[in-house]
Amino acid sequence: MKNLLKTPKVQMASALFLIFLSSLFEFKSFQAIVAFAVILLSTLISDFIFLKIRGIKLFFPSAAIVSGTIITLLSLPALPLYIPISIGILAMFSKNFIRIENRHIFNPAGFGLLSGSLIFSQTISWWAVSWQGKLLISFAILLLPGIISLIRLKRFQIFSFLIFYAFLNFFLLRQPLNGTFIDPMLIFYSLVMLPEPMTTPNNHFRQITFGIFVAVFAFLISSPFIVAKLHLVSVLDPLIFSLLLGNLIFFKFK
Amino acid sequence: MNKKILVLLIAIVVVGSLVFWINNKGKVSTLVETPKTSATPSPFKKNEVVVTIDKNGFEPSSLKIKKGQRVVWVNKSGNKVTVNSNNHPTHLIYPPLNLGEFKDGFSVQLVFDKVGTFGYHNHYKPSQTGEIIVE
Repeated sequence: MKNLLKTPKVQMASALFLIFLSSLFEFKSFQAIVAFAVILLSTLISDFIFLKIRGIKLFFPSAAIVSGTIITLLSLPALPLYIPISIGILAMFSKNFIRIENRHIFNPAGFGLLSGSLIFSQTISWWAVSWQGKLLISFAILLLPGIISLIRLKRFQIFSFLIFYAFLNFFLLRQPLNGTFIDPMLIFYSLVMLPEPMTTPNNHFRQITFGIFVAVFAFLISSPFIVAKLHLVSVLDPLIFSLLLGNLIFFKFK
Repeated sequence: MNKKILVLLIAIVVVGSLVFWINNKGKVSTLVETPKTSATPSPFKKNEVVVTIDKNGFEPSSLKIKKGQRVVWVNKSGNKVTVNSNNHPTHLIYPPLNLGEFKDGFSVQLVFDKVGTFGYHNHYKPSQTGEIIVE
């Protein structure tokens, strides 16, 4: 048990659970608690079934717990339950079957969320992380995953995303730098979604390149320069889409 | 390792406090509290158009105005809401529309000085959307 608690995935799951708990102080929602339980069951059961299908020996499902918690934090609790359940199943499907050379390609929670948003025409809401900058304690809790992803997993070069994205906003759209650097949603994205170790480069230079690629692409498909011309689907989340595209392109450059 | 984690936690709290303090320092509120009683004269001026936010979203969800007119969003939803530019969650298509969060009974406003169609949404419930068509 002690060894399990020392693993990065279990520590990440604990940090994400704390973020969920702190969000309940702002959004006192029983629906959110129900949604959390249902989504977690969905990812755990589907991961269990898919592992059995693949003939893999079962292990502690820390990845499924992390994915389930991320999906809870980003999916609106008021959605009909079949939607987050489907998102959980899609996430575990991508983790277990969209693989090359024994490695899954896409961030599982990101894949589940984006495909769910396109199938059900529901925008990814980011409800639980959107307000985390308002209180000191909630902001501190939001930063906790950084200890695991940036320092323990040595993924701090991916922080290049936030730096590059902030400067693109500042120079091209005149958005204040501090507004981007302390945006709780972007901090969560940088500390939790981007540095997922299985789907991002290990090499430090490639991590920087990955971060910059995601920043540039996310900015381009969000900005007025491109959106009007491309008539992008309105529910397409630019951050998650850029992440998954980065996963695909950098898959070969681990 | 335990000492390192403790130092890191202290650093997080210190940095977080600093960031929190910088973020909230000298914030000028652009919120306007709207009188709740109907007995008082309407606070809205002639060149202003009002959009009401209730539990279902923005009403009217689509609004045509002339260039230079002011739109006032009044929150009557019972909860905090936001007015943010599309697309969710990056809000970059028309940044002046990022008017932020405001409580029930308060309002935010913007003068539209450019012609075009400007989509927006409530960041806390992004399915609640609206658009302003400026001619």
